[in-house]
Amino acid sequence: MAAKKKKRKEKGTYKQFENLSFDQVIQKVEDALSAENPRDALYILKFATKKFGESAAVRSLFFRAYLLREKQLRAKSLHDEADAVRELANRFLPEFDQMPEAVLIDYMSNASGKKAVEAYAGYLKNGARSPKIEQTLAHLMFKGRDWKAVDILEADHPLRQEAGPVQRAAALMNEAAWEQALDALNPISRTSPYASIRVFCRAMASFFKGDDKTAARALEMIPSDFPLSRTIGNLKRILHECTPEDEKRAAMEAVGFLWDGPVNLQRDIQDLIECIDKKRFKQAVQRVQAVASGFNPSEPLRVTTFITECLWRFSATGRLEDYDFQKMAQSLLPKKIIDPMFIKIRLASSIKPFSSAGLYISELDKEFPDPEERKIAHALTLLHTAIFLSAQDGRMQFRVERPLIEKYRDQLGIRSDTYEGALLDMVRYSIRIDPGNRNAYEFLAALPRNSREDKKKVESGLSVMLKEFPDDPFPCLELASLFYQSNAFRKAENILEEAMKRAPHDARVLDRHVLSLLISSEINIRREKYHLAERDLDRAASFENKKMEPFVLEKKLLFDLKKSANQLEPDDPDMKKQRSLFGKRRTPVTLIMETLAEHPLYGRLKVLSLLLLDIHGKKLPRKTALLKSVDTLLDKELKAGVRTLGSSEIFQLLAPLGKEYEPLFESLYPAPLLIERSKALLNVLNTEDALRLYERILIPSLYKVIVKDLRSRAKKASEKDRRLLDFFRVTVDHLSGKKEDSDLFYEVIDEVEEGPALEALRALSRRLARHATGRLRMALEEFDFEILDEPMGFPGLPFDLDLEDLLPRMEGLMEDMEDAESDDERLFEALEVLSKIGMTETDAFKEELGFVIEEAEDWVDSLEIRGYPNHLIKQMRNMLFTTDPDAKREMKMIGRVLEQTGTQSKLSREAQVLLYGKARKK
Amino acid sequence: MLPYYFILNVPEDATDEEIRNSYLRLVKQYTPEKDPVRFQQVTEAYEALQNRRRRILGKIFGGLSIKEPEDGLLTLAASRRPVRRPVNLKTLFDAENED
Repeated sequence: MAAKKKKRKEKGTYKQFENLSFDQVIQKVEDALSAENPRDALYILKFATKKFGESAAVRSLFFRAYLLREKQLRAKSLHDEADAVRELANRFLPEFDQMPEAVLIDYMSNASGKKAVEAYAGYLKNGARSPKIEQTLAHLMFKGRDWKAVDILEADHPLRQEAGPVQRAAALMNEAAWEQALDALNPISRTSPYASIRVFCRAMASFFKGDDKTAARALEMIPSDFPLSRTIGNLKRILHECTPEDEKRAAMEAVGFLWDGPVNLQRDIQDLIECIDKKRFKQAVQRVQAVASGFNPSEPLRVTTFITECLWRFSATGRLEDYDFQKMAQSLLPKKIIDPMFIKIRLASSIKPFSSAGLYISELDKEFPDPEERKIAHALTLLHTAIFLSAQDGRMQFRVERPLIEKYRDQLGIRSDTYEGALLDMVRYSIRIDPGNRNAYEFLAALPRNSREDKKKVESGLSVMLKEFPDDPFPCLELASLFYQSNAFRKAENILEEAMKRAPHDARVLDRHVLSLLISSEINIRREKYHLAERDLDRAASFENKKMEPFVLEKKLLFDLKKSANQLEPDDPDMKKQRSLFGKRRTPVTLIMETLAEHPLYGRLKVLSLLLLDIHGKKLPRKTALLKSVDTLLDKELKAGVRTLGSSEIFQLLAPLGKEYEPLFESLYPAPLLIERSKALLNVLNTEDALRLYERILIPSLYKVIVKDLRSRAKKASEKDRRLLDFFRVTVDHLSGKKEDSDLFYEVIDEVEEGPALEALRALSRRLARHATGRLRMALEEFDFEILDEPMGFPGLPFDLDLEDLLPRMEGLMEDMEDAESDDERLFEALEVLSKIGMTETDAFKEELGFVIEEAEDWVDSLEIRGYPNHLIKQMRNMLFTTDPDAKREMKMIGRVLEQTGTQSKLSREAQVLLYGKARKK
Repeated sequence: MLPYYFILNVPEDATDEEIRNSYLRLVKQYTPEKDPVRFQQVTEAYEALQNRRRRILGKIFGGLSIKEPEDGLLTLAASRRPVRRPVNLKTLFDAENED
């Protein structure tokens, strides 16, 4: 059928040429060749030979057509076929001096060096040299290294004359000595047929030297028919600044032999992550090994260890199961590396933080043979553990780990019986081993110290810092705070003098110095030593400290008011007036107004609010009258100017004072007093500032005001802000005891879809948790408000049940689980495999599943948690998971088996919470 | 921590001086104008390694301290710039003729 069709086609095609003249047929052949269609050209030529006979023109065209076809076949790597076609072409080989330049180049491009030079020698008979052909020949010589072939040319012909240096350079290039090769090519001129070889050599020498600009410039000058055009094209793409990154990477991969090791590690890493996500663990292990050995062939283990450590984070975030991670780690690393790594994992994940730290420290000599490094490592481990415990509130851990803490007493340096004392002991021990670590002192200073003993510990640590860091004012400032807390005012002032010597221009030192003078003046006023108080106030004012100015002004005002009140005669009929030095009567209002006259509105309000706060908390003569005076002024200022203030200024006015002001004021909260006087203050605040402020001033006396403001804001707020405002309001309702169940929380949360909006609610919830206690705190911390719906009382369960009561039972369970571990584990693994492959309907499987459910219920019974509220069981579960990874793995495995078989609903509520963290609806 | 050593091209037991010298050499080589990305990487690596305590802490926790493991692994990949290997002419021709 195909043959018939071909015949028909041939017949039809010939027909169309039958009426054409010779010239027209030749034109058709030329057209076919121009269109790079040699097969059509050859077909027409066969017809032309039949009709018009074989002429020189036809032979020449046959030659060209066969050459073109040969080129096409070689491009397809059909070299045998191409050689056969070359044979056919040679039958029509015209005289070289008759051959056009382009045809001769085509002929040469696939000929041997010798034949090509012979052809060019023939071409030269017509007298004209061709630079293009000579360049092609130079390329052929370079590629085939048949340097003797040029000897048939005239002695002064450049191709022959300059072959020597090029030949030497090529030998050097073959030894990868590109710089020397370039030197050898120095005699080659720009017009030489070998010029492109010199340019290529310069490009490569520059590329290997890292001079990419020169390399790129040289590459651009190399002609497209250069023998290494593919490599050159890729290099151009790599070095060109505008090449897109993915194209650059592809080009680098194509010429990967130009680099040591893998060129696309990022893709390899992405492949590894994909393998992890798709649970192809065998492939993932192979990928890690490939990346590590490609990365660092001499020491792949270092890279493998690092990657394995990174993979642990995948398991810590739930992206990889613990079990799978452990298996991968065991396949990747030798035991001598795995064992210490798992100790470090316990340390990093803070499983039994005290004992993990103790265990790790006791093994430090293996990892840190240098004693100096070992000391620092010891100190850092202690500090890391203390920082973690402090952030997590590790009281419970302290109690759980007491026996082990005793075991590692020497490593941890713990001598105290209290949790707070233990943290201080660890940090102090860290400082003793490595006194040069500034962070340790900063952390020590931030730790709570309530007992006299703890204060002494902090003081001794900071005293070490005084000596270790002789120019640093930090220990002086912290010691000053400590002394103020202990009412050791003179010591505080002395140490602040030292701080001034160390850093006379440090803003923190100056602030603290002014504060100390104010505290001193306060004490002197209380003792009625007015001359001393006045001296302190004058000194405080002399600093002209912008930040402290309102406090200095306020104290000065209070001093003047109190002093003048004391100077008034007791029988004065007009108690509202005072007598000035010049006999002129001045009311407190006049005195305040005169003092504040020069100050802007915000400054006046700040001083007045501080004054109000101060007078409220103090026993003063004529207190009511003074309060009234300040009130009058404050009302006036607020009415006149509250609208002219910005949101941030109002925020500053209402925000609570810092802890360092405790010795100066009874209360640190000016907000209740100010809001009571002007509700309009809140209207000026924008929603963002309002939420920020309410988080800071969430005290019972303000609940009502805050709720009201939040409600009114929510009516006008954007969708995003409204949810935050509503959530805040619901939380305040719960804090105030108006609401107790979860409904209102879920009304807000259910409106929000997973994403940034829900994340914002979660973050707010966590921040608000610190204002709450008990179940509400736990619910806010965990963003799980079902906790609020659990019944409060249980038969036989004491109301103030502490989790510590459950610990002995938990330890018992853990021991039982350890005993039964190996058998049960095999059973659970087998069930998991069977459920994965869908063999869940067999009787044996159902029977075994029954045992698993019984096992889970037994745990509930042995823990005696039946009837306990979910949050307590959940807390216990979390504790069990952090203290015993094996228990966690086993429970998760059981949970998975029951989930895969859809039998989790057969579990009791308690068992569900224990296995899954929450009860699932039946 | 390991990627930083690769970026600065120093061994893990390098001294302060070796780290500093390597840093100075690299910031001269990768100036912010020439290669801003590498310059940033080199600076970040130097900041992480210049302090002996940080180096020891890095040795203790290694990859365990990395919060975003994916970023950690990609940083590792980016830390090693492929080093050019001067190949000979024959290798170039052989590669050119490979399909």
